[in-house]
Amino acid sequence: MFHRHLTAEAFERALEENPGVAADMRRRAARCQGCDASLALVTPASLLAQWQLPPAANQPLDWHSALASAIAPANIPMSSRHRPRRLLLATTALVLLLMALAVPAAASSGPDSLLFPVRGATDDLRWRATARSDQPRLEADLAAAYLWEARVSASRRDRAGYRAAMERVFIWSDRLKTDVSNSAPADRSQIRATVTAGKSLLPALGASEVDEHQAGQVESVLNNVQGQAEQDGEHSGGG
Amino acid sequence: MGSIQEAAEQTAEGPSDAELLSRVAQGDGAAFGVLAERLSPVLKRVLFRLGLDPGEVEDAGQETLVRLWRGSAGFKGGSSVSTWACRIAINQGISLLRNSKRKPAELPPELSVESPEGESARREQAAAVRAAVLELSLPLRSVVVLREFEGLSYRETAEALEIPIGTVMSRLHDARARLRRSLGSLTTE
Repeated sequence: MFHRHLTAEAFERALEENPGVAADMRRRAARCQGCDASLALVTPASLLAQWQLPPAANQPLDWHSALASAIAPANIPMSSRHRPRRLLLATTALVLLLMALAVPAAASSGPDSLLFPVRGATDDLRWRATARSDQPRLEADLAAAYLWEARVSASRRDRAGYRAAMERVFIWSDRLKTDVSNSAPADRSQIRATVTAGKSLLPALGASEVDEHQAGQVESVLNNVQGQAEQDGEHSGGG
Repeated sequence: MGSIQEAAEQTAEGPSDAELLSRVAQGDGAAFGVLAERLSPVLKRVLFRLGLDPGEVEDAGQETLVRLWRGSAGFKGGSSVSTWACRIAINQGISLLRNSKRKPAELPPELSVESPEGESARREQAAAVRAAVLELSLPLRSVVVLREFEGLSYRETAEALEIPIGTVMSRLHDARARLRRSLGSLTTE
């Protein structure tokens, strides 16, 4: 009759947990050579006993150190120990993500936007990252761009926005006045063109009701810049 | 060969493992010391036979004690304290071995406690046994260490490894067959 042969492991377990079942298994095994052979298999425990351990195995573990580690604040679980660091990393990542989203949006923000300060900070970073000889051209572009923002604010009669935009115009035109002499000769004509385009907006700004003489002051600065750029151009042109 | 039962018998001379552990849960460092010294031999034997080198045995043993301290309050008594400690040690040992690049069998053979001259054959047999055990996969080796070396019952082995008893039986069957093949030429004499 076909049946599943007994195993030594099943027999051992029965011996441990239910000797009656084990005795029954022994009787059944006597009727089947395969089962009998399985139960007669010698466990390798006696062979394994030959593996003796080194003397270090008999030394007790240093429980004092373990206790110190267990209760020391420096050895609190990894997750807790790294929590402040993780929090910092998460905050940094969040700030970077917000910046990655805010910077492109801020590039075209007007004075009435919450992102206008971000635009100012980004402009400043760009300026610092620009080579000294290229800075005047950037300054001219930024001054002209903020003049355009001032024009938009003036058309909306937004006095606060106009003032904010003109503050930026002053910042960049003043820097341009200082730096224009450092510009590369090849950039001078472009700077003059940008300044000329910016100046063309000034009459309308000066006539607007939100202007508080800022347009006149800007014109004075830009005239100075234009004069320097033309003088330098003539010197370099006359060689 | 000491066994986990021998460790348990020592409790007749003092508070039981469970009593010590409940005191450990209340922050009793002295009870922790007594329990740690009582469990040390078992834990070290288990870790050595899993295939850790002496330095790793110390590290894993220390970490086992740290976890025993921290987990003492949550111990529910589903198994004996020593079985629970063995479970922690086995998990630590397996984790170390899995993270280690080397194979356990590459370790130099250990010297026996007593290795008088003229016993070279016996030492060779011991090295062969050790190599055969360390050739087993970690799941099979864990069962062999607890059942064959430490003498745990099937149920205790299952509790320590958190596997069904049937799995213990099948793993042990497989491991024994492999060991018989590896050690076929050795004798117990």
